[in-house]
Amino acid sequence: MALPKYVQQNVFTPAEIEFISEYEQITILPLQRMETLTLLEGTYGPFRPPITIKVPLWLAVTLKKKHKCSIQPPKWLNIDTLKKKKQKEESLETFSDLPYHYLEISTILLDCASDDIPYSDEIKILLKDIQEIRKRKTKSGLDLINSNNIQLDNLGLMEINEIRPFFSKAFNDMRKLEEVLPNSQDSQTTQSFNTSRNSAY
Amino acid sequence: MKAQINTELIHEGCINDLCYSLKGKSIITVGDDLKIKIKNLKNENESKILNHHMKKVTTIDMFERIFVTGSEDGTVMLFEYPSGTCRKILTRFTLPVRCVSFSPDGKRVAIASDELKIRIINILDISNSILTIENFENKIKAVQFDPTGKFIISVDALGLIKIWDISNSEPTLVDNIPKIMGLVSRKNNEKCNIAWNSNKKHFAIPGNNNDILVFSGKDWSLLYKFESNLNKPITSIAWSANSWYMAASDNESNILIWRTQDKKLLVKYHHTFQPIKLAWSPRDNDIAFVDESGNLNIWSGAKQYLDSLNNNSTFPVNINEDENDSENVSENIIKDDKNNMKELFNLFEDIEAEEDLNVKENPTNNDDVQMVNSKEKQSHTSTNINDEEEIIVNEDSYDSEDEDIDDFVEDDDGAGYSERGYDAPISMKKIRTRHRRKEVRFENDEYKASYPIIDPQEAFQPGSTPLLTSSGGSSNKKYLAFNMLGSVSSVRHDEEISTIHVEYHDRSVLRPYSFTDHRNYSMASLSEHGTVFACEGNVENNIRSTLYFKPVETWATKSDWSLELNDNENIQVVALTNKGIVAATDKKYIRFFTFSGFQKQIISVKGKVVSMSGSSTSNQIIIVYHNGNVFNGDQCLEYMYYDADKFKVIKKDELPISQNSTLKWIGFTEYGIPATYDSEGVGRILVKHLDYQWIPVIDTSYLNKNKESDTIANQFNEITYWAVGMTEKHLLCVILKGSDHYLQFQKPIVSEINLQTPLLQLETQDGMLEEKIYRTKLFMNIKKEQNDDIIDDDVEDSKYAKEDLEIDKLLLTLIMNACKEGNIQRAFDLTSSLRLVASVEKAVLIAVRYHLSSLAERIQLIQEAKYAKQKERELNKNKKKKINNYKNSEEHSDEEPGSPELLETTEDFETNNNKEMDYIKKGNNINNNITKKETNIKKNINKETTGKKIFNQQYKSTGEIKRNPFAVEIKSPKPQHTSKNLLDAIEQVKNEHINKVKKRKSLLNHGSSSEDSLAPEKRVKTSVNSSIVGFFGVDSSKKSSKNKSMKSNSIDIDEASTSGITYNEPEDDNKSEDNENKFINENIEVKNSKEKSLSTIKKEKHALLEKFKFKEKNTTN
Repeated sequence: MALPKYVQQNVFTPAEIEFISEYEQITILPLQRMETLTLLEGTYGPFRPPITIKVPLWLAVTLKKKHKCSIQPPKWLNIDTLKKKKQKEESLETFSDLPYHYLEISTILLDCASDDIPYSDEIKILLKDIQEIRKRKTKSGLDLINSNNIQLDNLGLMEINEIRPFFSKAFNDMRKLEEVLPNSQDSQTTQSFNTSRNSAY
Repeated sequence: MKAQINTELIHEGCINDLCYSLKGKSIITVGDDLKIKIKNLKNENESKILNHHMKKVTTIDMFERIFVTGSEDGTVMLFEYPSGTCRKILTRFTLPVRCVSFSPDGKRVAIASDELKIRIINILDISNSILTIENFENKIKAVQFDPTGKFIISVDALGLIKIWDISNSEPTLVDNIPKIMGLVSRKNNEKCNIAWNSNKKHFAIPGNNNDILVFSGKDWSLLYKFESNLNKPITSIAWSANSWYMAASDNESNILIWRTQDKKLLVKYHHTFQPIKLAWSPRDNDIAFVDESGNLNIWSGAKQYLDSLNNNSTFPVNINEDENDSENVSENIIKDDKNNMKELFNLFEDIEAEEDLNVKENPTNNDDVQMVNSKEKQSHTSTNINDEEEIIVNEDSYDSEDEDIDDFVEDDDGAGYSERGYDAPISMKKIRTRHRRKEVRFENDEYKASYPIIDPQEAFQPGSTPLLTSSGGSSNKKYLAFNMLGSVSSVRHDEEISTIHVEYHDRSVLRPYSFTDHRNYSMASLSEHGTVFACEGNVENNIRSTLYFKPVETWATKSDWSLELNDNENIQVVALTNKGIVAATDKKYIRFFTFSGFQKQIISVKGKVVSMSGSSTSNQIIIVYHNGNVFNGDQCLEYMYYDADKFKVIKKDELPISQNSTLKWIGFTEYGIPATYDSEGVGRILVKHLDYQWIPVIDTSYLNKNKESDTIANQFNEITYWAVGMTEKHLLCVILKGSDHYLQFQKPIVSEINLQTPLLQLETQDGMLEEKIYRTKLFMNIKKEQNDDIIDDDVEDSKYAKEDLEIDKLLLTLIMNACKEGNIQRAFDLTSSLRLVASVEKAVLIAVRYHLSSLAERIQLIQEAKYAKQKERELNKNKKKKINNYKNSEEHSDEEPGSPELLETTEDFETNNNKEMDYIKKGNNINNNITKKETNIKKNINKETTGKKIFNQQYKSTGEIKRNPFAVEIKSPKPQHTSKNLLDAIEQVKNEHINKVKKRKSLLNHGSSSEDSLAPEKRVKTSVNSSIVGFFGVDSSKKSSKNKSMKSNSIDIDEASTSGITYNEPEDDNKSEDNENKFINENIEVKNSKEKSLSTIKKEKHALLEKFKFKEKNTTN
């Protein structure tokens, strides 16, 4: 197989995920009057300061780099919300409901538009904390792994991507093991299957 | 006389505090049994008991729909009323909480606990903004905000009253009133409270000599006392809702009531248990008090009772008649024989109570400084009235007792009795007329009808703010201007120097810049040409009112300039148009300057200028000024819409504004239409084509209502819309939440709010559609007006095809809804306002779909009428064009006048035709839903329609779509037959025409062969040598055949065949139905008119020809 290894494993590279997340819409405040931008992917505009407008993240970043707009951080990307999320994350077992692309978006925004985000340094730290807590949780979730399912609500794409190679392999292996296992344990597995299904939704 | 006091046991153990809900519907009590009880006075079933605290609940305070409670377990909780749900725990102390108190705006809560500190918590943001006042030596008994929210009054266990300034982040002690030490005795949990009177000018605190001390809220000085003669310390006090009476309880078991007016003890009531706290109901003037044994006692009708006492002889009255305190009482006996006394008292109370309610029920009033001012003024005036009347009453009724009058002067509101003489004569007259009952009623009604009086508003610059208080409490920043182009802000450093920061939203226009300002500019206006600043004069600093202009683009040196005004003239408002600067001064002058400072014009206006704004696209300006005093809450404003190019008034009239409101913003929309926005949230535009009427296009108060729900968040997130600009579809504004009524200094985000004309039933789908239709039409007509197009609801104009389609789409939806509901009349009405013929067609289909054949028939009539009208219009158009062309040709005397314009007209026809095809195509696309249904319907309709379809298509294929084929469509018995006939006929005519064209070409070709390929406009200019006589000899039908290509077939047919085939066709079906007869008649009319027009054209041609000949003769001669 000539494909690189990560492709074989059904894994995206971080760059690819970032690319995907750049299609998320974000509100910007244009700093310059511009007519409608007719692009291959869609039309955006017209840009009339001081009226805010929604554009995909990649366009916002491009404009920001040219100092043609200032980005308005999404609702969840502020210090209060993140503090609350962190608290939730610490106190509850489930993952707090952050956007699917929260890691990517926050990284991009903090990277290029940190001047538009108040308390960006603290936010960076908070995000790092949240990320680590979540990582710890996913790891502790390994105990619960079985051949049928695992419930990981609210996990971001980046995080899923991280655990995907291992988890999928683990699933497959477990399934194989189950096939090999003698029938005597059948009743047990069905039971666990039921419980896990109940817990799933 | 016996008072009716209802006692009910509601708590086990002592009740510690109570409060009435805003409207007096419920009482909330807290007690030693850890419970909070919301007792609904009308409906016992709705009462609620809340168990949230772990220890005795000690205190409660309420603000509108929320209340906080404090408990000995140290927690302070926030609840929602009436649901009683606990919102959050505000804070925790380690020691018991003794007192909670809301700030006047309800945003903050001051909490006193045994920890020897007071915490002030912002309930919206409990984590960050805690202010703590520490360093108390003793336990704090009571805490209360002052009406401005800037000060806190505290009373500690030693009776020390302290006043704290909390407007800064560091609370500072303002004043302590040390004289009343030893206020609270014995028990630690004994209460003491601070009560503000209803006009918020005085507050009362129980004193140590068994009296109540009343202090001024201004300078904290002691004003007067209520004395009791009983040797028992007073623990709880309360003013009645109008401050007419003061009620108090002492620590034995007495309830005492004084009259504020003369500090006389009116009532003494001995209760079986010790009353802990008492309160007046806000509306009915009942007194409720709670006692140590868990009883809630309500003395209903307390005020009526007290009022009646005014007629009675003895004060104070002992309600417990078995008790005898007559030796104390005897000194205060007053006799009052006058019968009108009671009447007058009642009257005044009604008035006062009413006005109190007005103030309370008008939360929007405290929108801005002006309003607050006016409110103050209002309460001021009202109290003045009352004072005067009191005094006069006094004079009337207490003539004999001179010592009382002195007592009187020291009254409760401190409104200044120097003003007494001000209009005393008037009030004397009033009083005299009031002796009669009838007249009293009349006066009363008049008062009911009156609205809060507001002062005429001050001049303001659109988009400017007063000094803004930031979170730190300092107020040195303000916006001088904020509009769609940019903002000008000023930061004041000290008395003389400030920095001005100019920032364009569009950075490409100009980079943001700042400069130091020594003159303290207070106004600015910003346009793409530059920024103008202005300041008022200051006599002390020897500064004259100055105008300063800074242009954006400077190719010349020293392009910015400033200009000083005369000593006694001050600039009030400045504005910029696209060609110059306009400044309004307090001398009622409007001065016009060019961008270089050249003075071009000066005019005088009638009243004080309120505001003005210049258009950025034209040299127009709108000036608003006062045209009289405020009457019944209505400001008399007048506007002048002024053309600064010609220096002419475009329109001058009264400016409509909501009742009790002030103008908040004025400006021009994107398309240069003047627009206003007032403090009641109504935005209006000035519509030229409707003879300059102001039309309300948005009412943001509706928006508020729609979003309102019973959550606490919304109560505080009262939304203010700070208008910045207006476009065709949106109001551009900054949305301010909470009590901010001015633009705040953090990056304001401009949002777009959809315009919504305040039509009725906007919550229904039909209402929404109607509104949309109305607004689209309105703005389409505005656009048409600006482009000098004809405004006519029936006329289609290709430029506005998009709008037409949009309107029709909405109308069709409405028609469908009406059909669904079976409201045929409505559906029919709606059809008549459809704009495109194609949509009428759709309407027919809708009607058929809902099996409303009678409607379908009627709609067809409309359709026919529309066709007829369209034809007529086109004819007229052609006629006009032809005439124009003749005029043109007359100017170019040496060219062939005939053929070119004909070519033009035909081509015009052609394009029209194509456009129409486009419309239909577009209509088909956009009304996709309808077309889908159409296909369904078509399946349902019987074979006749299939015939019609073919027929229709054939028509289209030949390009002939102008004629109405529908008369035949559904009803005709043999449609296929007729269509075949018709087709044959068309074919014939086509052939004939081709022949004619060929002939004509061959005739003309020898003259100029190249003509044909030239564009018609060019052809007008090229000279053709053919003889004029020869040309006019050709009959008009032949002329039309001089078309260059087969593309123009449709027109050929239209022109030539109308007389022949078209009218033959319906004649074939003559027998079928009346409908068709009508149709024919109409068609014939059209034909006649056409013929007429042709004949008139001929005549005109002849006339022109003669002129032409005449000229030629002249030239040859």
